[in-house]
Amino acid sequence: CSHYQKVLNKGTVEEQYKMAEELYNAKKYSKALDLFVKVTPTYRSKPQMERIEFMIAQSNFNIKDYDLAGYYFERFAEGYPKSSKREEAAFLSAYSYMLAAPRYNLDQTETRRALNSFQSFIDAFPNSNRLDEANKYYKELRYKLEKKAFEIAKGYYTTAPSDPGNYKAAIIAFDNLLTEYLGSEFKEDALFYRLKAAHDLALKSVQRKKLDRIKEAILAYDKLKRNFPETKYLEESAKLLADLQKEQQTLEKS
Amino acid sequence: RAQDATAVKKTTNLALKDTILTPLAYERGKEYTLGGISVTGLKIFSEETVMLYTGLRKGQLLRLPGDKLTSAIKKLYESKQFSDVDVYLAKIDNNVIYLQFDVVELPKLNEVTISGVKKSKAKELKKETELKKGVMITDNLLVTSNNYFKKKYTDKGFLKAKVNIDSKKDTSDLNAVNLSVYIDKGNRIKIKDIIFKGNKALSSKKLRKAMSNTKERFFGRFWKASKYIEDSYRADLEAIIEKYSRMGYRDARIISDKMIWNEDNTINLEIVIEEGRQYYFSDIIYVGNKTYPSEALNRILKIGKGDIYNGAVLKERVSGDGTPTSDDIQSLYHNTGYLFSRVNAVETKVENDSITVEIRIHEDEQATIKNVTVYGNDKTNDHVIYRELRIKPGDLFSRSAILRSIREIGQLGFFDAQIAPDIKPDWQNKTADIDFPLLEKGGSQIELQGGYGGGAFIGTLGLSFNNFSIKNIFKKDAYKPLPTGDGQALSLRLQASRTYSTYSFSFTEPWLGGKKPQSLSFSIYNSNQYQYDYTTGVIDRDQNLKIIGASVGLGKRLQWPDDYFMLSQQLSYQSFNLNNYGFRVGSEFLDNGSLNNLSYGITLSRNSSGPTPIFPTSGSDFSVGLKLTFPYSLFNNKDYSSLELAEKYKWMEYYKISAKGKWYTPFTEKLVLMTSAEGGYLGSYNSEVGATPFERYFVGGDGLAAYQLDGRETIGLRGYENNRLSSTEGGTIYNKFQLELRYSITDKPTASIYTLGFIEAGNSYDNFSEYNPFQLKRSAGLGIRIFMPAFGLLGIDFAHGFDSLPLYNNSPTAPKSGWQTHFIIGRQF
Repeated sequence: CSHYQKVLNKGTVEEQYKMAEELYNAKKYSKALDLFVKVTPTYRSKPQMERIEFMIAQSNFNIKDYDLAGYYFERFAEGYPKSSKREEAAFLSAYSYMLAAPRYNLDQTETRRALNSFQSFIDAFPNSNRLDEANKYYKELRYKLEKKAFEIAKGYYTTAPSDPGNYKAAIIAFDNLLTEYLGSEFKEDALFYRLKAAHDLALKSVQRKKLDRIKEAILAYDKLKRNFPETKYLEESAKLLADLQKEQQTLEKS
Repeated sequence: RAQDATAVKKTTNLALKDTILTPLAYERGKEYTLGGISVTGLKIFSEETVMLYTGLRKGQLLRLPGDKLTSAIKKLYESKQFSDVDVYLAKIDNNVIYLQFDVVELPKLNEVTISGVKKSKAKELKKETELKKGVMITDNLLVTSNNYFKKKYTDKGFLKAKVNIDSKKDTSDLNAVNLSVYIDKGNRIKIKDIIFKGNKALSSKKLRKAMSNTKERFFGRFWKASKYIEDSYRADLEAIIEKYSRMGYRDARIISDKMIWNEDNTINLEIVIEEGRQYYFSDIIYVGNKTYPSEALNRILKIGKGDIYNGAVLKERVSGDGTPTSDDIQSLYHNTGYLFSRVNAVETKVENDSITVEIRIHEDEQATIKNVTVYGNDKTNDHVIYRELRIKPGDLFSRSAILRSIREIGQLGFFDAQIAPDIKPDWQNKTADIDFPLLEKGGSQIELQGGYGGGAFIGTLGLSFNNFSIKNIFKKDAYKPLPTGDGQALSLRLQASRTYSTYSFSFTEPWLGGKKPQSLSFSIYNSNQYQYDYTTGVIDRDQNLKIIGASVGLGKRLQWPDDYFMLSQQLSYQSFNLNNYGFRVGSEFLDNGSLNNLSYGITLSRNSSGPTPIFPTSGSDFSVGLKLTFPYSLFNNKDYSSLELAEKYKWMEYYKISAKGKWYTPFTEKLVLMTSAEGGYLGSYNSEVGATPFERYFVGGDGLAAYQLDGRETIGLRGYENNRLSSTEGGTIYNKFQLELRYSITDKPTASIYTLGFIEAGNSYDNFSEYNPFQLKRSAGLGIRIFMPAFGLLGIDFAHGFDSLPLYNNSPTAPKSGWQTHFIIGRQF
């Protein structure tokens, strides 16, 4: 360790570089990083820099600083377009961003970045043998964003009893989800909850607005049924429809 | 763009040389194979590196002249390593060409020395400048650095500062230089006189006052030194014109201004003004308003025919004064959904000194909100934030709803209060998206301490988490380092010494069940005290006092009278068990028995203060509360006058009424006045039982509620010793009034700091016959508060009590309380 400190603080650049690489190979990534930082100003724009930058990215990845790893891999992939490691770096960049992203109900900036990175990777390396993996992760990331949008929209519905304006908010939020994520895995659930929100809104409306809203709710039912004839919400949705039709009949009679 | 030009120039250069060597080559767009590149003029770079920079490869096809070569040259310049790049055709062999790059490497900076200023200053400057070891020295860098240093001093009033940068080749390195920066800051130049010419309507004194940064030299001025700073001087000139325009002198202008050097190294500023005439408003005509009638708009404008023309106020009332609470026509439209509306004031006619103004309104359609998105929540779960937002998909666009959302987020206490929502209008669909970018700040406090008190060691462990997630308490992954994100508050406190131990736990869920804004909180605590003989140091655990307490509370947000209201109810129970333990009950002691305190409390409150609970700048906070027990004595037919203490207070009975109000009045964004008034009354149902010795008010001091056994309420009144304004048994009535002026020094997520000055008055009374709301104990003082998320609130106040303590019975010779120092920890005034 004292030898390490000596090199870190007083060693020549060559010594530092040599030791950094040794530590890197010995999987002492944190210490290696400190040294890499020291040598970069000197090696910038020298041929060794390519290797150094890759090792910096890889070290960050190994110490689980995925945010930084993503950034360095991305920089590597852009900065060395002719490198043999470019494909690997591009993939690891996206993968790092993915690992850096927190759970779905927190800020998803990293997820979006990872999604874009995987998309660029798939576009840039259509013959890569990592393609399957990239596609798999791409799907997972998209699912995460869909889940987020779905839960937020559903949240409006859940809190609507205390604030009736939230029924409308829920309906629009579900609409936003359905247009933004075509073919979403949440399509069926979104359509069903959209129907539920429209149903509750209609039945809780003042007389003047009731009939129009019932009609809209019935349209919501039709949309669910058209898209998912065998929906898992068959029974529940049929009951909602019956409610609506019954109320509609009473209204139209009077 | 400049670089592009050079690049083009270089290619032309190539073409010329080209013609000499191989006249035929200059055919438009002829394609060659690149046979190789050689580089001359290298000092530290290798040929390969240069090639790497150019992006050219041996064997590639190259059109000459063409893009690839141009971009190769451009890339070399962009690398910022070379000051000169020339390209020549070295050889041409059929279709194979050989290029020669002639480069001049930029020297690298090795070391900078700064002289002429203090060592510490030189060190500081060195840190700030861009002259860092390893940078390439360009002329541009030298010029900008020179200017940077110079400006640093001229900005402080050293108008004659001189900076000189010398470069010397470093002997140890091939292509490195050392720079020496000489700074001669000279004297700070003061302004002797500011002379105005041509001003009649406004006196020179008034104009000098309008210049808020440029001041004359004046003995005794310590707020602002007299110095000349070009930028602020220009801004001050604008301020003069602004001042005129506010008085109707719309044409006022500065004809000339000059700086005159005096012999004593000071300067005079001479400003020549042409005032022009004073104007008045004539008719104000509204055009294009469909939603609001002209009269309604005029009530906002508050300008009538014949008023002195004031362009600045007109602009403020038409398009806003830049504050969120601005009352203007544009805000009116924005608050009611007309995001796409435009309001402009146009002067249509100037007749003599009267100006007709047309207010042109383009209302457009109302905008509906499409997406509402929250960013930056790295710890707090979406639902905790979204449920607080007052603007939602489908709503009409409303600025006030956005502002309310910001306040509600601020009240959560998890985020930095500076929130700037991003509004993204979609003109085509008449919708808008709103993004709320947030910045998390920590909010958990951990207290771990050991200390020596009362002749024994005391250990304390306190944990307080305000953004807890109880449902994740058994999930291992959630510990990062703690399960957070659901907005729940949890606190745990254990304190123990040889003579006593207390444990308390409390938990609050702000949205019970996640459906309604209804909070549930509960707390339990347990305390054990043992008899301790101070003379022998012996602890007898058989003589003890055990207190067990628990409470459950429900808080409900109301929609009526408005949605700032809240109704809270609380049920609490406390039981005291005595075992040969001398426990003070009022003025007597009780040794054995068990006492019970079961009460129900209800509070109606309205809190519109904001944006954050730490430094509210506007709004108010009121509450009225009632806390009561069952009136046992009215039903149990006991003769209380002859009862033993233990029987008398077996089930305590009392009722308490309280009222509190706080108003926040902002003067500027940072300067806020808090006005507060509060009072409380503790009453009894039955005169035979009398006022309970428990639950009393103790007024005076820092107001920190230390752990107490008898349910007392501690009311702070600075400038007096803790609790000393009440009798030893405590008061049954109190009132208190406060004026506190607060100035925010910083309001960052890491720390909020503000200073305060206050006057306050209050008193405590033993019973109604003593009550006199005008006989108050007064004080005034100064203090500071620091709030850091990990530590909570810390503060210190120096207060002067003007009156004497009650124990002197208002005797005229009694000493007044005088200066007191109060430390405030973890609590807000």
